[in-house]
Amino acid sequence: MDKVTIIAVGSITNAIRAQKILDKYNIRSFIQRVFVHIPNRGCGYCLKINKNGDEAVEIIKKANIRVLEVVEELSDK
Amino acid sequence: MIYFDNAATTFPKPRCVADAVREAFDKYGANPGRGGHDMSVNTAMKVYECRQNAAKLFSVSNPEKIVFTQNCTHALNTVLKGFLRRGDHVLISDMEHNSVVRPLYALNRRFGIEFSTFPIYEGDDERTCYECRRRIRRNTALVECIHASNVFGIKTPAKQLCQTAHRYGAKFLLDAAQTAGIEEIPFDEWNLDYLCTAGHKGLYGPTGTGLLIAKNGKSLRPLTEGGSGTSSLDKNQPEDMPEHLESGTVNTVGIIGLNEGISYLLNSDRKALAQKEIELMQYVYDRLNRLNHIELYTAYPQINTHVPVLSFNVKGYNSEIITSYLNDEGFALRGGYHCAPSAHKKYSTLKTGTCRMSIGIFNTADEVKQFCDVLENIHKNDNKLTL
Repeated sequence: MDKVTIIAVGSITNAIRAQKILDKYNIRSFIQRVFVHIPNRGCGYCLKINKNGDEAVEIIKKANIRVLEVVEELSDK
Repeated sequence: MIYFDNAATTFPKPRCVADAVREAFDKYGANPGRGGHDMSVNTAMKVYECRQNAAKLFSVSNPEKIVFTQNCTHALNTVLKGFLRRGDHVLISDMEHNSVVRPLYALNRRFGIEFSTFPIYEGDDERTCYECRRRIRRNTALVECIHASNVFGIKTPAKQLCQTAHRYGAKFLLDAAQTAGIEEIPFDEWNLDYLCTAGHKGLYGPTGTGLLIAKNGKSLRPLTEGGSGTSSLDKNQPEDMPEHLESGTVNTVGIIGLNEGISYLLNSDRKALAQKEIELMQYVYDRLNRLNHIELYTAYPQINTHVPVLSFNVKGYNSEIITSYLNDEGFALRGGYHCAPSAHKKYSTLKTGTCRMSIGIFNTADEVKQFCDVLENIHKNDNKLTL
């Protein structure tokens, strides 16, 4: 089974900016709403990456984008 | 109608602005930053594109420093009411718009926040900075200055005034309502703290749009708190910029139009446009300056010292009578005080106000010639110059 990483950020603007930065590093990401991954926060946006997200998280943090939560899951795809 | 009221709102807009607004209704009708469906995310992408282009135009490193507001007044209120605290003093120029003076007056009455003025000297930046510097107090938290007078077109030395404020530990706020667009205002390089401007003037966007650029927007108390589409279980306002200062649904249609206005400028030779505008104004100045019945108040307009905004009066007449007459002749100009009584006090025009002619990028040599021809002969039409 493949790994999926969910990186929750503070806003849609943060998510779009983070996605554009990751694009430059050839890391493909998808913007989506946070579902059940991040409890107790309510609505929000995250980037979904279909692999280990360590490198992506590091890049996003380096760009001064606040990362609220990182959740790794196994995809059955 | 020949339009010379560009200082209030530019007209016409580039064709692409209207096209983008139409497209926004057709393709980007969802709420950005609220849903996860494609149209919501695509709309958010368009809004972000505008942030990116605004950041490019003002040489700002991070698009998250760009905050969308309703207009320049809204942006200025966001800074003044979000930054100042009891015990602070604010130093402003003597040519400020009511969008600065009225909030400060209200803050003074409510919280005792003090404000005072420093004089602007037309064409003498050194003296202006000197007068600003010597009026800074121990408790001066903010220096605010209009980048160009909306009444007299006089430019102010924003970069140097910002340096002066910082030297004494104060922040600097620039009101760029009359300069944003074809003027070069590199936000990061000038080390500005806050820049406020309208979207519907020199940025050629729709009305109902404005920008606040903030070096550290998180430090401002929001003017409004509310829905942001994120962290909805938390009662605290989100800290992330720009949503920290953008509660409620933004004006997507306006912002998408604004994006096209900014793109249009980014793809134009802005220096050439500025040169063309000032040359048209120089022609007007030369013609009007020769007429005994016309009163001018400022020096010959030059690109380094003025924007193409000119105040004048026909001797013996109230400005509103003249602009009403000009309207009948097919020219759109504004008369009165232009929401800046302190500028009129400085130039002793409080009794009559002034007729204000302001040129935009689409005005032509033929239009300004027609205008000068009418003003040349206006005193021969005394019988028509009544309210």
